[in-house]
Amino acid sequence: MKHATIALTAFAIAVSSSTLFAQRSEIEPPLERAQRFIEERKQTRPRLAPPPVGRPPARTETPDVDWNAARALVAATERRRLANLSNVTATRAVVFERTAGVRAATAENLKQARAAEVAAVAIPVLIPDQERVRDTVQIFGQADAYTAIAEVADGVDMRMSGSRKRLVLERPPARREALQKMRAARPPLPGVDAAYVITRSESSTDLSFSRFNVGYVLALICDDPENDARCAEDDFIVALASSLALLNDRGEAGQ
Amino acid sequence: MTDHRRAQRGNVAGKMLLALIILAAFWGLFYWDLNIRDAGGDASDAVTDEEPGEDAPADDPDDDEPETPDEAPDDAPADVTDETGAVFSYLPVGDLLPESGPGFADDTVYRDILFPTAGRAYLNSQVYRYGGYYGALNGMEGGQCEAQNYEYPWQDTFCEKRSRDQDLCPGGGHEGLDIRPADCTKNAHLAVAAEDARVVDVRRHWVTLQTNDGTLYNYLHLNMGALNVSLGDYVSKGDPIGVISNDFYKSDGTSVPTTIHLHFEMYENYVTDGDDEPLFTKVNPYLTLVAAYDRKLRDE
Ligand SMILES: [Zn+2]
Repeated sequence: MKHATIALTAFAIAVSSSTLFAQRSEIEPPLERAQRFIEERKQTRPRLAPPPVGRPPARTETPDVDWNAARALVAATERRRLANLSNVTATRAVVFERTAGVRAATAENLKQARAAEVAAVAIPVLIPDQERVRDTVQIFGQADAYTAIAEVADGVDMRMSGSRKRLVLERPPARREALQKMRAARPPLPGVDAAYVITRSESSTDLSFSRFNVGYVLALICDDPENDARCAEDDFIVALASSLALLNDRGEAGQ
Repeated sequence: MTDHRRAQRGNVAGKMLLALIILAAFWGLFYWDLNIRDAGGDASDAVTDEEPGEDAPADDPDDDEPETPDEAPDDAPADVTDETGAVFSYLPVGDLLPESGPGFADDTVYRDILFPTAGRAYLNSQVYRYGGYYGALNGMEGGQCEAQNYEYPWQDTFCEKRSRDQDLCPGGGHEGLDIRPADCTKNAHLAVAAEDARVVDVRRHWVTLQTNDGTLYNYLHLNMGALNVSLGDYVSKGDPIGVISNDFYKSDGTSVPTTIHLHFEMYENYVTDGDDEPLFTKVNPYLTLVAAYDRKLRDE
């Protein structure tokens, strides 16, 4: 009887310790876990009759630019500017900040950009309407796209790009849908009346919006992106994207 | 006598059982302790707990690395191989290494591009593997030149965890893909233009190309002192951009240590079917690169 009790106790302890052992084997050493994960998930490409990799976009579209909307926005901005000017006193007018919106400007007045680069572009060429940008901007134009690079302030540079071509995706990834929802949840860019998102990465802080059927992305490159509020927070890039200069107002070029 | 012997035998059996009990108890305690220590170790690091593959069933670890079949030309494997005869393999998009971030599963092949490096290439993590700051999280301690860093399968690193949460990568932050060239020799392997494009930005440790229909590519960590291109240049698909290095500068010129690799980023202007407003943002080029490498290995 005594022996039976001892045997039972030993059996119980053996069972419980083997259960612990089984649990232990689920907590694999990290390297084995990583190697097993890689080994189980890897796939190859058959030499013959290979299936397609991933999915291409449903189609590519190059919509017409809505130049009427661009001109209407310029006109509305100008009306607001005049109304504001008439509302402020002479002393305040000296420090009056530029009206939010889109102002017409000419590429000829830019110091470092070649007018021919702007003339080659068939989509509205927008840059932040700010003195340092105008003084330093360089523009690289191609018919349906452009990129402008410039200094914005000490410690901050920018790159702004536009593209008319768009890829139409049938089923966007879930995270992308979340990004679209985030855009819908924000108030639009003041004066530009465009929904936008801001994303940040190691190389830049990006504000993306679309207007006149064109997609734009303004990328800010800060010396110290983590600690410089101009890149780490939204206000600066939103202000920059809310006051834009349109460099090819006529829009006939390339149309 | 028989009773006595039986009693003696009983005593011996009893002692053996007791020894077994003590052994079993020690065994149990030992593994109990290990479990606790492992759990504590995992929790102490500031890494996300939503790694892919955590809940995969436990199995015998397979330590067999796929060996390069030397006899490839004669044996013609059923799968596509590179010039050394190694079978090209890759993990699905979004399947990052354990402990390395949320990933961004996106099965879109955005464009038919030329693979942006000459020669063999290995897409995998620079931070969570051998030679990376967090290599130990996956037991991958060693230097960047470790042979395992230069083997297939490829692995996605888009939205790999960095110091910051990003809107595009909640819990992640790496909005590009890291490409190791054929080996860890610095300034020896070319990065090439993925498409006909224009050089629209050259700064610090990166070069930006834009196609004539708007797509943007960022090439980071080239040897910036020996680029093959200048700002404003037009390049053709396949033209050399520069050599893959580990240039990584703060704006004040201070150097930041990194591995020898090309960090490749892609911006695309896209819209969901039925939506009217496109988004021009960084996208995950993983499957775009898998498709490009597959074509390259097939000589297409
Ligand atoms: Zn990278």
